[in-house]
Amino acid sequence: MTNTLRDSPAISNPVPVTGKAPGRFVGKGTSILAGLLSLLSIWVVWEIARLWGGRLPSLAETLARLGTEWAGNEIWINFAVSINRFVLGLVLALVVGAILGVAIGLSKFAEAALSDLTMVGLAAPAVIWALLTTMWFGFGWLTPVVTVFLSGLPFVVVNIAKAVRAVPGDLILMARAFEVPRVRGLSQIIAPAVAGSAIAAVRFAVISAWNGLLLAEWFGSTSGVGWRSRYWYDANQMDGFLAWVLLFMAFLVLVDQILLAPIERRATRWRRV
Amino acid sequence: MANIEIKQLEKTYTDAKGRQTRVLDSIDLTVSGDTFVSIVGPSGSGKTTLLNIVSGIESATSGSVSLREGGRDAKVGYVFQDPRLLPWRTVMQNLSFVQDDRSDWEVRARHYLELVGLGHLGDRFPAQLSGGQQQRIGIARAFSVEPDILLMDEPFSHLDAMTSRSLREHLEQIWLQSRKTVLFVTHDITEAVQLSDRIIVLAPGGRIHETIEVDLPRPRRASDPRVAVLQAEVLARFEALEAAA
Ligand SMILES: Nc1ncnc2c1ncn2[C@@H]1O[C@H](COP(=O)(O)OP(=O)(O)O)[C@@H](O)[C@H]1O
Ligand SMILES: [Mg+2]
Repeated sequence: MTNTLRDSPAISNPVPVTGKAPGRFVGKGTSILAGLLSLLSIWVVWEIARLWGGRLPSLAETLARLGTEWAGNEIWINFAVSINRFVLGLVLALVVGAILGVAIGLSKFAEAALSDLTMVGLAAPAVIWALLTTMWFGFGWLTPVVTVFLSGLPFVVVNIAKAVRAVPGDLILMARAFEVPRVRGLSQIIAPAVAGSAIAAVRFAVISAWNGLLLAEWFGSTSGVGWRSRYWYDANQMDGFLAWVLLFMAFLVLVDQILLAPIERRATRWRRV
Repeated sequence: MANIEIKQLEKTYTDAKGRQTRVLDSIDLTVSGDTFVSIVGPSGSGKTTLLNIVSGIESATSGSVSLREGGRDAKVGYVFQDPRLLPWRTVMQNLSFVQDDRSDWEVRARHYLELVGLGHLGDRFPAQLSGGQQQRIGIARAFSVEPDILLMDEPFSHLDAMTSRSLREHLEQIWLQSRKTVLFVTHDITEAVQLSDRIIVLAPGGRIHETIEVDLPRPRRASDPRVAVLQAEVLARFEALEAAA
């Protein structure tokens, strides 16, 4: 439909409203530049930090350690184990959080009953959940999965509740007055209205849950990326430890910036016309 | 020929403490054919509630509403007081959204966009239009489903005097061409006299206070002395009603 609109000679649009406005290129250029700058600033801070104590390895040494971890297949094995736990806990958090969020968004009673609990959840640092689950479940798969679930959940609840409240009632009445089919109303009113907050729910949950996962594996696991960084910590090998810290951060930035942020931009594109 | 039949319509709202407020009180109204009916009344007299019940987006407490066209249910178009466009869809997509006959909707949509003078803005998003343009899209949307019955709720009240005057003339022209049954809510007596075949005055509490037939030739100009005389008369009755309230 969009194509037929654009091809139509009847519409000689004076203002480009869709697709690539000239500003987009500038945006892309500056964001690459900003990315390079932030990498550079990490390196600068690193070098400044090396001036104290003399125990911090250089970036080159750290990257070399990353190479040996790669060669020994440690990276793949531990990431595979961790991502498995991460996805399991995160999906649970999304499903349960969506149900609770919809309830809070729709019902005053559910809001009164659950909002304090949600606040506690938002305020509790992931390390609390990691320690608690380690004492609770010991060194099994439940410890990281439950920690991921608990540290992701409140963010899902809060943002989904916000999404539900964002459903525009007057547009729904408009659709009903024109007898628009239910499915069309769902896909063209509800879905775009809640998309922004729903994706925000996933983004915040991913960040928080990933932190939870690392801590849970640090304290309560014998495999996974969190455990592997602890392994180097216990061995008093700072280059190994820092190599894994770099990996965690890179992983999170990649997932967020390459996967989730573009989806969010797409879903909320209409706001920036 | 469309037919609106409202019988003994009542609407009562009950608040959280169980107190009841009557908003519409034994409304009886029959409109048939291509009649333009205006509903005027002070704010809070139930005009919007009446249109909402007629359109089916609110339910009545008691009484009945029947909307028929020939042997079938009539198709309704609604112009709201605010534009109510989907902000994430373009103008054409907004018009597409309400069509049930998918075959030649584009032709109809373009036709009515042209009629409201916005044929060139089909690719814009609502946020890229002025308030007056958005409201005109709302009018084009209601006409584009080719309704048998058109409901309009103070469609020009948020617009400046110039824009609303030109839209009023547009509306009269489109209506003269397409001839529908119209229920038009307004608090503007001038507007009511200029556009209507019949004016229904709602009193506070939601009763029909009186019905005034307007039998003047069309198209009507606001400057026509006969229009002015009738305006003054309706205005006088309206003021008496407000003073009594
Ligand atoms: N959902 C509602 N709940 C309670 N009272 C309402 C509701 N909607 C409208 N009312 C009341 O009904 C009366 C009529 O409202 P409305 O139909 O909007 O009047 P008008 O359009 O003539 O200004 C007003 O007093 C308003 O406060
Ligand atoms: Mg009103």
